[in-house]
Amino acid sequence: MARLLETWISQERMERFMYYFQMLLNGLSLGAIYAIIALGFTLIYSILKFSNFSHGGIMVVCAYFAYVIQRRYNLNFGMMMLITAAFGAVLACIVQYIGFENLRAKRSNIMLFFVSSSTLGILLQNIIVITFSSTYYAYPAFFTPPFIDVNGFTFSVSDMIMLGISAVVIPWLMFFLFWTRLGIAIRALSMDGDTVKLMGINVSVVVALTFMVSGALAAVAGIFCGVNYILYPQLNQLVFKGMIASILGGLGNISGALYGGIMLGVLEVCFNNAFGAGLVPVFSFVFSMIFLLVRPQGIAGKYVLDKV
Amino acid sequence: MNILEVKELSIRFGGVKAVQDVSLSVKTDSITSIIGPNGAGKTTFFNLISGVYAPTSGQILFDGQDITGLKQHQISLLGISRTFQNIRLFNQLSILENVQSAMDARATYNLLDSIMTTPKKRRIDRENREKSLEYLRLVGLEKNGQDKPGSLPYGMQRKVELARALASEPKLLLLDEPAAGLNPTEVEEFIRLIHKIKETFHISILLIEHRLQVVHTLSDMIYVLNFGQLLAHGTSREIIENRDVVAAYMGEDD
Amino acid sequence: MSYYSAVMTSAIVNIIAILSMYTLMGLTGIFSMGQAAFMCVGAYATGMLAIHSHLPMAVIVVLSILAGMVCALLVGFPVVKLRRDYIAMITMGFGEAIVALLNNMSNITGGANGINNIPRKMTLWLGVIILALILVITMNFKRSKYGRYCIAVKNDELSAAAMGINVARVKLTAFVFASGITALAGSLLAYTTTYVEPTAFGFTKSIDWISFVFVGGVNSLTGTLLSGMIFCTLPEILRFADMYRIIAQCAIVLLVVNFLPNGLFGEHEFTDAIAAIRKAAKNRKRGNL
Repeated sequence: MARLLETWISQERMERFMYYFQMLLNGLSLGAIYAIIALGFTLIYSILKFSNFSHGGIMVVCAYFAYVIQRRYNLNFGMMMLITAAFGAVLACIVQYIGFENLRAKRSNIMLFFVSSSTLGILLQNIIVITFSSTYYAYPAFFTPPFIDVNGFTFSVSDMIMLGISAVVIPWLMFFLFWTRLGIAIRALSMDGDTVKLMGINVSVVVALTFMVSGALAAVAGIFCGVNYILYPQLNQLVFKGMIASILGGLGNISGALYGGIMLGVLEVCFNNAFGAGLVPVFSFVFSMIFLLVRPQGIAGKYVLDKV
Repeated sequence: MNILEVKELSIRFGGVKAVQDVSLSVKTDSITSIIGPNGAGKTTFFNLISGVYAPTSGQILFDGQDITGLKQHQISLLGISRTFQNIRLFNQLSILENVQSAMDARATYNLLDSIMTTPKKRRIDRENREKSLEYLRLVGLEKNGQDKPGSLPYGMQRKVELARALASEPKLLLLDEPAAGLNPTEVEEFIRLIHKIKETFHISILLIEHRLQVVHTLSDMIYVLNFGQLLAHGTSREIIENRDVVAAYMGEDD
Repeated sequence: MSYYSAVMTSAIVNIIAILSMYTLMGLTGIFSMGQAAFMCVGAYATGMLAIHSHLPMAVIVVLSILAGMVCALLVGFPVVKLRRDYIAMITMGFGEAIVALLNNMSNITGGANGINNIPRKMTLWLGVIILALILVITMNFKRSKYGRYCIAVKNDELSAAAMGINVARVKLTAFVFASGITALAGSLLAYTTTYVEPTAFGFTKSIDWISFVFVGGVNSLTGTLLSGMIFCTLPEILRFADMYRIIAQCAIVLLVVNFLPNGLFGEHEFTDAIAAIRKAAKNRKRGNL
C-alpha cells in the first residue's frame, strides 16, 4: 500500500505524513493512559460530587504492589494486572472508609473532602517513599519484542495493550452504568442521595462499589504508568494529568474522560515535539486555561441547570 | 404604573417545561401573591425574576427597564430583593452582619480603605451597623444581633431573612413562602409585620404562599400557577370563586 | 545571623504565607493546591531583581508582590466563575507549569540550580514587624465589607448573589489579595535563605500549608497563626525524623478533619477572648458596687 501511495505523493511528503501519524499514535497511547486515570477520577466525582485527590496515591501504591508480587511470584502480565486490580479495589474501599465515611455522614463542607483526600494521597505516597526509599525500580520487560514495526510505523506493544484495555473498559463501564441495576443505582445516587436511600438502596454499598471500580482503574493506570515510564514514588502526580483531562472532557462526564484523555495525550505529544519535554506542563496549563475560557463545560459537558 | 411586568416567560430544564408563557404584573406599592399546588413552578418563576436562571423566552421589565437575562447581583442592585423558601442565611456571620451584608454591595469604600481602616470605612460601616440594628428592631430581634443564625429558632431566622432583604432598600420584595413553618401566632405576627413594612417603606411585594389565610388577607392581586402555566388571576374574591382554581387545589368534585 | 534567628526568620516567613491561606480557604473557601507557586513567583522575582538590578529592597519587595498578584489575576480569571474543584486543579497545574518553566529557562533563572547569592537583607525583627503588619491587614480585611463578602460567598453563593454580591469578583479579589501576601512571603524568603530553587515550592509545600491551616482551625485567624507557629518551628527541631513527620502530620490532619472539622480553635479568635475578659471584668466591677 505504501508503494502505491508513493506513486502519488512525493517521498518527502510521505515521510512527513508518517512522522505526524506516528505522533498521533503516540498521542493516542498516552491519551489512553490519561483516559483511564481520568475515568477513575471522574467516576468518584460524578457520584460523590467531589474531587478525589487521593486517586494518585492509590495509583502509586498499586504500581509498587504489582512490582512486588510480580517479582515474588513471577507472574505474567495478565495475572499481575488482575490481582493488582483487586488489590486496588480493596485499597480504595479502605481509603473511602478512613477518609470520607465520616464526612459523608455529617454532610460536611466540600473543603473537608478536599483536605481529607489530598492528605490521604500524600500519606500513601509517603508510605511508598519510606518502604521503598527514593530509588527507581523498573518492571521486567513483559513484552518481547517491545515494539512492532508495521509499514514503517512503530507500535509499542504496551501502548497497544493499553489502548485495547481502554477500548474494552470504557464501553463496559458505560454498559454497567446504564444497563445494570447497580449501575443505575450509582447514577441515581449521583443525582439525589436522600431519595436513593428512601428507595431502599443501601448507599454505603453503592459508594463502596463505586470506589472499588475506581480503585481497579487506578491500579490499571498505575501499572501502565510504571511500565511506560519507571516506578517512582512521585508517580501519583500523574493523576493531575488525569484531572486536567477530566476538565477538558467535562468534569463528571464519563465519556468526557475518554475524550479529554485522548485530547490531552495528543496535545502533549505535539507540545513535546515542538517545544521539548521540559516545557510540556507549561503549554498544557496555558492550553487548559484558554480552553476553560472558551468552553468551560468541556468537550462532552452540557450545562445542566440545578434546581434551587 | 407597574413596578414589574413579566411577558410570556418560559424556561425548560432538559425536557421539562417548568414555566410556560407566564405573564404577570405587579402594581407599584401593592402586594401581589402567587399561589398554586406544589411543583407548579412558583419558586422557579421567582428564580427567573431574581436572575438565578435565564429564561428560554419571554421578557421581564422592572420599573420600565428590561432586566431579562441579567445576573443576580445586577438585579439586586437595581432594587429587587428576595427571601428563600429554605432559609439561606450566612451561617458564619452574626445576624447583625447578615443584615449588614445586604448593604455592603452599596458601601462606597474600597480595599485600601478596608485594610487601613480609614475614617471613611469606619464611618460607613458604623452607619450601616446602626441601620442594620434598626431593621432588626423592626422585626423585634435587636437583642440578638450577635447571635449566629444556627442558634436561633426557625421563626426568628425567617425574620432575619426578612430584615436582610429589606436592608438593601429594594423597590420590589420577593418573598418565597415567608410563612412556611410558622405556627398560627407567628403567622398573625407576620401579617402585622407586612402591613407595618408597607406603611413604613415605599415598597411593592410579590409573594409566594400556600396558606390561603395569608394570601387572602394581604393580597391586592392573586395569580394562580399550575403545571408551570398561569391558570387564573384576579382579586381574592374572584379567585375563591374560580372553579378551575378550586379544582387544581382540591381536586375535581365528582 | 545565628542559627536560631535564621530558623525563626524562615519560620516567620512561612507563617506569613500560611496567613494568606487563611484568607483564601478560611474566609472565601477557595482551595488552592498550588499556592506555593505564588511564593515561588515572589521569590524568583526578588532573586532576579536583586541580582540584576540595583533597586532598593523595599521596591523589589513591592514589585515581587505585584508579580504575584498579576499571576493570580491571570490564573484566577477563567476559573472563579466555575466550581471550586476547578480552582484546586488549575492552581495545581499552575504550580507544575511554573516549576517546569523555571527549570527550563536556565539562562535567566538558573534552571534547576536556581539563583544564588541573593544578599541577605532579612532580619528577625523585620520579619516580626512584617508578620504583625500582615496580621493586622488580614484582620482589617476580615472585619470590612470584603471579609463579609468572602464569608457570605463561602457560606452560600446563591444567597450572596441575591444580596448584590458579585461572587466571581469577590473570589478573584480574595485570590489576588491572598496571593500578593504569598508572594511577599516568597520575596522575604529569598532575602532570608539567599537562594531560590524550583523544588522548594512544590505541591508538598502547598499541601503542608493546607494541613496547618485546617489543624489550627480554618475559620480562625488565631488558630491558623498558632498552628503555623507550632508547625513551622517543629520541623527544624525534629529534622531527624523527617519522613515520619509527614506521616504523623497526615495522621493528625485526618483525625482533625474527621472529628474536629473546625480545627483546634474552632471559630474562636484571640480578640473574642479579650472581649470576654473585658466583659467579665465589667460585670465584676458592677457586682462589687
